[in-house]
Amino acid sequence: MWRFYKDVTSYALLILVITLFFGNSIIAIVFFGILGTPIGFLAYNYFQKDELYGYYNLGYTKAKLLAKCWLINFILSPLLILIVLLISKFLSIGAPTSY
Amino acid sequence: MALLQVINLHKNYGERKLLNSCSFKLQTGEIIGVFGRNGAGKSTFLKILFGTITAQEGCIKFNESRFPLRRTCWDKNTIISKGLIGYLPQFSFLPKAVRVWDIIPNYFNGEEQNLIFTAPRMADIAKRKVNELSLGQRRYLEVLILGNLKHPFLLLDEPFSMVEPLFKELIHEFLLSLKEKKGIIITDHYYQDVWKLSDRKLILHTGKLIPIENISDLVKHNYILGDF
Repeated sequence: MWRFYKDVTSYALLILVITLFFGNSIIAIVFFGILGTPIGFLAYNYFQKDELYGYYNLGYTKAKLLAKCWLINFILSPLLILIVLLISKFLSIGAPTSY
Repeated sequence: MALLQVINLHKNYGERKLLNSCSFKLQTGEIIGVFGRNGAGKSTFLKILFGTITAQEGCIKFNESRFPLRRTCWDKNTIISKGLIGYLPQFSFLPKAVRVWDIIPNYFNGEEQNLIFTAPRMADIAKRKVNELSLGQRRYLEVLILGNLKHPFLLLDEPFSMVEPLFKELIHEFLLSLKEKKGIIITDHYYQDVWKLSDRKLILHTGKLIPIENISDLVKHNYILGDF
């Protein structure tokens, strides 16, 4: 299960990096939390579809794999937002103010 | 002892009736060989039983429990979630760039891993990455993994395809050792291997599963030529 999570999330993170170029970081992380996993799964389904049969044989259905993966990333995304906000706050403390 | 029954399985692709009212029984301690020409529907048949392909009609019975076959992709796959059937697809399902000894813990815990690591010829296989293994070694490893999982029934789609004689022998021995506790269905175009292993033989011909007794029946159903 964790290998599947790692594989799908690596595609989702790639999408996160791409969206960072087009919007601000908060929107990119929200996008990652909600749509990153389904899009990552589509990429997994395209590039590594055959490997799904290993998970099926362990009793994981496609729906169960996707739901678990999505839930973890959905829960992680507010934490990521918090980390980004904290980093930007720390960086702004040290920045010189303009008059 | 467990009993698997498939009742009245129908599968159409548009107008074409691929599987037409197929029924059979399989119990643990038995190996069934399924023969059929390319495109006859052997792989589709196995995938329907495993639940990764939908069917128009039919149901599966495990002992006294009845499971309707999946009609749409939205139907829950109870076969997979209940771990009733193991399925070896035609293609390799192992991640390519990972070492074998890192894959085994995904399937087995603690002492159970020794079932794989102590199997014949595994010492050499275990330390290599999957994409460094020969086709025969990869197939042997996949059969070992699936055979040692706890499903009471096992479906093997082309377990001997591209496998050298040495690994074929190992697969033969392993499957015969599994027969005590599992019911197995094998399909492969290496028909002599399947014939040798199976207790009962069926041929999938014009959408029907037909029991056969003699190798001449394969000729009768146009699977092989008469001068074998």
